[in-house]
Amino acid sequence: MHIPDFLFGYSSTGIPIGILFWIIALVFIVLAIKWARDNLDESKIPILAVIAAGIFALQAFNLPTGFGVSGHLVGGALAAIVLGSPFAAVFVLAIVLVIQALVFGDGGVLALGANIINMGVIAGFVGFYSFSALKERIGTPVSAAVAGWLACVIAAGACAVEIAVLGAVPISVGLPTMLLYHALIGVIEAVITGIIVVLIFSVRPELAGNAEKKAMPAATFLVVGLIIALVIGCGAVFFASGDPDGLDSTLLVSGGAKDLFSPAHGEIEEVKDPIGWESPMPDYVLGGEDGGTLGGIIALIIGICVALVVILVAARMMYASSDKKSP
Amino acid sequence: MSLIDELFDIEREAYRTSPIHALDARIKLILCLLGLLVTVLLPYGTAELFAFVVIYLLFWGLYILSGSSLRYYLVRLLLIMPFGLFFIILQPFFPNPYYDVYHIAVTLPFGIHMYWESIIFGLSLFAKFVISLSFIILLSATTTMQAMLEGAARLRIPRLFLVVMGLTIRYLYVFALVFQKIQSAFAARCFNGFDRRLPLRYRLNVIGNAAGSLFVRALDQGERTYAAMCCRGYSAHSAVFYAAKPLHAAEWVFLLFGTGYLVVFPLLVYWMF
Repeated sequence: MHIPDFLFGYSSTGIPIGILFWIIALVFIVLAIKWARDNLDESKIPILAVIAAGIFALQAFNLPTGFGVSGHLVGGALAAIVLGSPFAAVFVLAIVLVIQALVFGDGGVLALGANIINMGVIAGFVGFYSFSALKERIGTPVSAAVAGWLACVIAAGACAVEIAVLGAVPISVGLPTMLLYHALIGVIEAVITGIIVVLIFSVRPELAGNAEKKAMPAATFLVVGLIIALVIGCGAVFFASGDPDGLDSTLLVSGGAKDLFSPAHGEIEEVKDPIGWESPMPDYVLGGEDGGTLGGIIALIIGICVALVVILVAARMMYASSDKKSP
Repeated sequence: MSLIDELFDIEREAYRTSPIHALDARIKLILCLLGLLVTVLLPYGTAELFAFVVIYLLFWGLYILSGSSLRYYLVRLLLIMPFGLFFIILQPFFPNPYYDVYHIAVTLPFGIHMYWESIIFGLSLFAKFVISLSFIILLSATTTMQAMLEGAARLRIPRLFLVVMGLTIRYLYVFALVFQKIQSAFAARCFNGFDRRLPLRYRLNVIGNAAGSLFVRALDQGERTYAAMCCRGYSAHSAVFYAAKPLHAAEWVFLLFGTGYLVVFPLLVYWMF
């Protein structure tokens, strides 16, 4: 479910959307820090840091789904349920995701905002609130399992919607695929979440009380909602310009105005003879009319080579003068 | 294979020595992010492919200088790819809004078509994917996590964030080892999560309990560590002190030329074609 960076390069709106996701994610991280200060007192934040490392290791367990597909735990719902607040999940998952993006390349750096929203915010909030709503009625293990499943599936759905907004994969294709796949993976996440929660609550019964606390009063919830609505509203300015892309065609599809596999605005030509196919770059000639001249190209290539040499020599010089150790 | 198995490989690679390893982490962070940004931002078009070559050339120059092996690069690239690849493989099956005319390449049953334009578009995305991952691989193969943290501190990233990150990184290794111990305990008891002769319910139960005990250990370790930190004088306002470290002249040259290269040449190439 880790969105990679390249999906943000689809359209001119990709970067503004990425920044928008970052802003929303940052709002939640700030709220999570505020929560930690109020409920943990700021100095106890190191505890969450160590738990983040634990969640990271937890994600390493490869889980058999029984269908030959393997998946792994995301842990958003788990963190929220055990630590007694969705904000704990936001905090912990944000740390895990930053490390995964910068060190492992799992999930993009520009995409971090979107990934934190999906796996931290959405999984945490859905997991926590569905658990606390169901707990009294169907008991701890089953409600933890249901919460785990919902968190996984809804986060995957949000991921598909975001990718559609980025114009990458139409929602009509992305959403069913993601939902179906994660509905299966989610079953395993659900079972494992249930087992872990039962185990932890039996070993550390004092934690079970945490999950009953209301995480956020209604007024705060409203304010947060308002902030996000404002941010999205400002972001809509970016959406307003440019071509109709992913989401627009999604709306057309869902409105029945457009077939699933027909183009958003264009024609499909049936060409049986591939030779009859026009190259997508018909105007391209080396140094063509609106391109550079041959001389310009040569100059450019020389420039690139010279710059490369300077960069590499500078690195070598630095190395020669250092003690040849990693910093 | 999961991320945790990579953790030790990455750190071993990052502790080697080479001209790239010796560079200041700040420079590497900035150039990596810039390379990523330029790669992602390049607008779609045929000229973009030439600009990609220019960016990729810089990556290879630096990668070769760092002395990391081709095998290491390929293995890490392959391990990260699956989820992104999913979107690229989906591409050819629907027309995207960036072309006006589509040509059907292959017609499949159920009215599904593959389009030439979308195939080419998918390839361009693939290039973006590979290059942006390459920069992250280069960064993590040549920079230790502690060095990245130090670099981030010198780049004025908020203190609280650094304290938390620093702790997480340290305990990452502790829990990676705990995870490996659990794995070898599984192996010693001939337990395999994917063994179909065992009922799924039983397998999930075993894995769930092992994962649960790992979580409890993390929880307890967190509290113990915190208590120990308090004994040594930790408070909410404690922070690691990183002395100012001016950049070497050669590092300035590297940074300026690297930035210039990434900003100027891809754009020049893009406009020229």
